[in-house]
Amino acid sequence: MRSQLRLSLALLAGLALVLGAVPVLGAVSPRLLHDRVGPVPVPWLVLAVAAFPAMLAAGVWYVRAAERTEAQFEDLVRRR
Amino acid sequence: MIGLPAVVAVLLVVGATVVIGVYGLPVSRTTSDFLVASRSVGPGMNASAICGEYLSAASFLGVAALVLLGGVDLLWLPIGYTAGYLVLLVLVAAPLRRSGAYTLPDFAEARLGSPGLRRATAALVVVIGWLYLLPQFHGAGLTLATVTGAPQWMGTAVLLGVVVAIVTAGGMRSITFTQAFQYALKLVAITVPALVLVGVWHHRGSPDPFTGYWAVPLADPRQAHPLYATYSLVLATFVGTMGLPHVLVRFYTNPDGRAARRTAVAVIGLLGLFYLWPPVYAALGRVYAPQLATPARADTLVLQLPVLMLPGMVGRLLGALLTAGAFAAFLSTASGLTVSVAGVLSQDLVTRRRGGVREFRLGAVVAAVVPAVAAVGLGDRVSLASAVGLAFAVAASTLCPLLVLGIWWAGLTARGAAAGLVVGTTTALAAVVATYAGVSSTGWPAVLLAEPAAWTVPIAFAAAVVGSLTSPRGARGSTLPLLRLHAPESLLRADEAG
Repeated sequence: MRSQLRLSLALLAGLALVLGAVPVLGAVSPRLLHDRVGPVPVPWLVLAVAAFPAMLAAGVWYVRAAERTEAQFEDLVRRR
Repeated sequence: MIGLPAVVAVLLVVGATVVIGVYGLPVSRTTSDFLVASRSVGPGMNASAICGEYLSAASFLGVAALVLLGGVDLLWLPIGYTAGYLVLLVLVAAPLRRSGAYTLPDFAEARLGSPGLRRATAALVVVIGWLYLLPQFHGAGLTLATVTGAPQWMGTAVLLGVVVAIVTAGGMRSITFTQAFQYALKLVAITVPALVLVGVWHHRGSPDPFTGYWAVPLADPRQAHPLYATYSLVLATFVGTMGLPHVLVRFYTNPDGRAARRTAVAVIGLLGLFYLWPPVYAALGRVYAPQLATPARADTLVLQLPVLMLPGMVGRLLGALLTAGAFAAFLSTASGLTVSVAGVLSQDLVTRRRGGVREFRLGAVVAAVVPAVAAVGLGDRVSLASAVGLAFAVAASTLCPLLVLGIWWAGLTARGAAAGLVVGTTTALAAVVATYAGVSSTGWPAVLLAEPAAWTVPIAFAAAVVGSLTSPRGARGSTLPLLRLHAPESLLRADEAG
């Protein structure tokens, strides 16, 4: 259970870090706020499009890691 | 106004919903069928059903409206609506399914052994359910009024009738199929018109919608403290999702904890597909429908945009498709919420006897009629996405601490949980009431009350922790109940066998 908690907290910390960084990025490099890819400004692209596959990838990674932890725990219990 | 095609579209949606609902009817026999579909729904189907239920009036109409009004900062809203499932996945999905509970009050009682806490949780589920149902009924009235010119109460009444009929007939089992179908319908209904309209926009020389402070993050001069407001909104949606009763009940219908996790991941993917489109409507609305950018009219943007951009039959047909999608959104969300609220009403609050099917049906009627009447009474004072935002803020400040601490901290006691619930409920509801009453409209106080989650959630957590630590020694919990929540099913089964 402790390793599950560590896993969950790691993912949440990562999430907070990435999300927290987005507005800071704008403050550090104001030019980025006005740059465009085709007709769409970069902030719109990041928030309206890129954010979703990123969240999906984080979810898939977590499920893999959580099931690996459970399998290890099961082995440990069975061996005794 | 779209007129006849829209009426036909609404009738088709209602008809298809009833047919699929009836198709699921013969298998709804026991209370377990009605409440959790006998726990036999696979992850793919369940994820579609969750999305079908979750994509409400706020997502279908409200997100585009708020982005049209507030610009790029409001793009955090769909991100938060989706990321809520990521938080739910890592913190509660599998353990909650393994707790063996049917409902949130079941969980509270099983974990903390307090009937009083059970009733308090039940009451909160009803409050949050009603806060969330209100904008659905309002949205139905608004939509029918916009596309046909009918009086607003009519759409609300239509929705009420259909929801009560479906829920009392089939309960959760038939709703699972209905919801999965409605996710597909909503996705098609929002995607196809968006693609056509973007094509039209391109054909007309791609006029630039991204102008002024609207397109630049944190630049809106009307918002006094944009950074705080943004983060508070993000927090409310991230941790509020797990406290929404109609979402949680879906996780109890998974066969086991592993399936519950897979369901949550699939939901994140399916929601992402949908949320690509509302900002497109907002950007096009900036160019072609600037007259709708007022708080009272923005919620109709998605419905009106095709007709405004394409006069003639094509525009009306696309508008009818969007109307169908919007009605599917109200219908699916409202029936899911009605099942959850009815389950709690019939099991915990109205009747003393547990779990009869007759009580469940009575609960369903009460669960739907109250918010429908409120929606007619409040009229246009309801803004779709903001009203749903309030439900999120209350859920984040109350049920979220209960779930997170209950699952991950052995030290949580009944007294601590009660303290957290009382403090979270009072502060969040006070902020909601103060905002609506217009107590303060400028500077920090206004921002703090309009986006309360950033301070109410930590206060509620702190109250729960302090309450637990000051409990008498005998009342402290042990790690045993937690072990059951986190152990993989295969181990538990092996234990029972051996």
